[in-house]
Amino acid sequence: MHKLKKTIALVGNPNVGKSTLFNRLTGMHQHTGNWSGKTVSLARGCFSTETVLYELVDLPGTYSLIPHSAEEEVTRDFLCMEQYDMVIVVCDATCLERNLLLTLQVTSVCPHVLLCVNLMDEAEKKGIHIHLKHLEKQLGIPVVGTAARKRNGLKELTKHLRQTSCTAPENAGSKSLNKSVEFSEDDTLLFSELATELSLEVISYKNSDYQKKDRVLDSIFTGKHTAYPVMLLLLALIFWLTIVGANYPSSLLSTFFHWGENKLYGLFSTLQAPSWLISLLVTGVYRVLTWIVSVMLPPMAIFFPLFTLLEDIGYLPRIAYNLDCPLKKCSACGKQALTMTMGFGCNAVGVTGCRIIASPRERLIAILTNSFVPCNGRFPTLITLITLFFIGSKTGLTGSLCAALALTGFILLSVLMTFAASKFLSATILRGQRSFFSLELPPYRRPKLGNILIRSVLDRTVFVLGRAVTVAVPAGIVIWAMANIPAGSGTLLSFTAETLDPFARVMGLDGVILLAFILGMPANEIVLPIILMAYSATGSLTEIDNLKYFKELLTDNGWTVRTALCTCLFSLMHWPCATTLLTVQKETGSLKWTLLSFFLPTVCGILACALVNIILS
Amino acid sequence: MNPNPSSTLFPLNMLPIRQSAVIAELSGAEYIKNSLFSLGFMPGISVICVGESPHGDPRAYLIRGCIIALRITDSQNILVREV
Repeated sequence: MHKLKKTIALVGNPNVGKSTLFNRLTGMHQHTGNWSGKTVSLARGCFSTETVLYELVDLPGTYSLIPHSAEEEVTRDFLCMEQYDMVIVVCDATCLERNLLLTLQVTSVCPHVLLCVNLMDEAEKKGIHIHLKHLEKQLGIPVVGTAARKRNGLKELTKHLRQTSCTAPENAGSKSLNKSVEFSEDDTLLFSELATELSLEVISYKNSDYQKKDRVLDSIFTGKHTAYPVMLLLLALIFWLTIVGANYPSSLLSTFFHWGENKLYGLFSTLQAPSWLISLLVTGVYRVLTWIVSVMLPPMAIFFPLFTLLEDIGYLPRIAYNLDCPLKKCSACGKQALTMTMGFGCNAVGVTGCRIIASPRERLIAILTNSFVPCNGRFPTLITLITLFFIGSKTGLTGSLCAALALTGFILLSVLMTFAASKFLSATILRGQRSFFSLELPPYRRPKLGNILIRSVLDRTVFVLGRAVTVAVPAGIVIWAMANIPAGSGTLLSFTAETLDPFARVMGLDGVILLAFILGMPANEIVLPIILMAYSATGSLTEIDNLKYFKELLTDNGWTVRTALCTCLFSLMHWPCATTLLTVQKETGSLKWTLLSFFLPTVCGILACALVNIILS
Repeated sequence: MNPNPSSTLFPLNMLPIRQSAVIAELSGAEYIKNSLFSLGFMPGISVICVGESPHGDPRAYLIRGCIIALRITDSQNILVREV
């Protein structure tokens, strides 16, 4: 039977759980997190009942239909110009009054509105009771209470959807309002009064001190004397857990892949494949691929869940709150701290996330400086070099603690450089007025550990790893080819490295290291493997599970602590990876800004390395 | 709980921590006013200062059940009176 198709828009304030509701209804996996602005563009998904196919559109959160930022504009434009059958306004039960302002605006312009009061479980925990029936009567639209994270109330919601879609005229189809929306100041004040009156009638508090626990936590996380120490401690703790936890599974994986390599050799030999093909596929493609998996997968599988945990609790907006003042001094936006923390996972994601920044000038600053923060692809390089060169002979607990502290130091440096670069931009080409800044500090929520594990491991880790692997296969072929094509007295790889050498020496690097960074442009993960491969005469990637052998190889090729330090610095500050550059181009729509995002960190990196090289030599 | 009309107005950023006040009027540029409106800062609404960031700016306010952080330069535009 042909099903009726209905389009439904999800609208609401930021961080009320629209994406969670969207995921629960459609079975999809949009990222969610306890902070405003997690969803920056619209997502579509479908689900169906016996008779109707529903297309659900998840719109970025907005406080009002009068937009103040690019992401809010997406929502307003959709509601005014696109075709849809129905709007679900999603509200946060723990702060219904403010949410009602948007609800009233939407009901005044859109027909067929359903109100979904989400986070009913959180409200209940805080002793907030909402009289849904009364609210329904007063607003004149259907009202459903849900707890989307626990899947409560979803059945009732779909029941209401079915009823509403039945009452709507059969042949009406989806309609677009096709008009611009304007609210006068009088309208706004009227909505304000209505919202206050309504909330007095429908909300009752069992205990008026329901936010006490949050304020205690805030006094620790944002307190004058505790905010920065806690921030540093959490950062160091996450790195320490990542370094310690990743060690064992990493070596396990690399042993496994080594075993697989021998099997693969055996297989190809039995098939009597030509030796160059075996060399290309096994030592070229297979080794690069497995190196990336064994080196990247374990740290990511630990780092991402820990990071998601902070996100779920509601800590990230507190970081932005703490860092707003220094960012303001750089004429930047406090929300840049949020896009920086996203950059830790992936700079391309961080660049897209800059849409939460309303002012175009401040948004550009955040986009151009995002790659100063090292992404997950650069952590393995940093961690390996720190372990080999900076913690001396310390092993066990002391060793891992020192490594975590050294990594924290590098991260602090990258944050300071982001501030400096932002200051530089706002003092030169991106001069302008500071714009309005507001930041919502959401209630702390108890994280759902199961959700975090599933979401961060399956969604994020697999996504990032998948991308790295897609890049690694062609990169592996190119590296293998360069290492095997003769040029001059050696191979193309050694010839190019020699050509780059004089310039690289100025920065305390050598030609091979610089070449590795250039070839590593598709994905930063493969920088270290290329260095190893170029040094070892085998002409293919080497196993680095034996760190002692690895360090010998590096020192044999003239590496000192200074070389390692310069390589780490250059890893922090060089051109963004190809994906990030493409994202910058997409977000700014301008080649000029994309080029600047390329040269800004590169020039900083060259200067910093040259400076360290001069000081230490 | 009616605001006392005779009490003097002062900018929101001067409100001491853990004290509450009622918003009397909003001044400043139109876009700032609109931004504040959509966050719920409107005349007649009561607001409590719940804390400040380690640098003293921005400060956090409880309004209509939500915590919103505003910079001093922006919260200067909100005039409040004591309750």
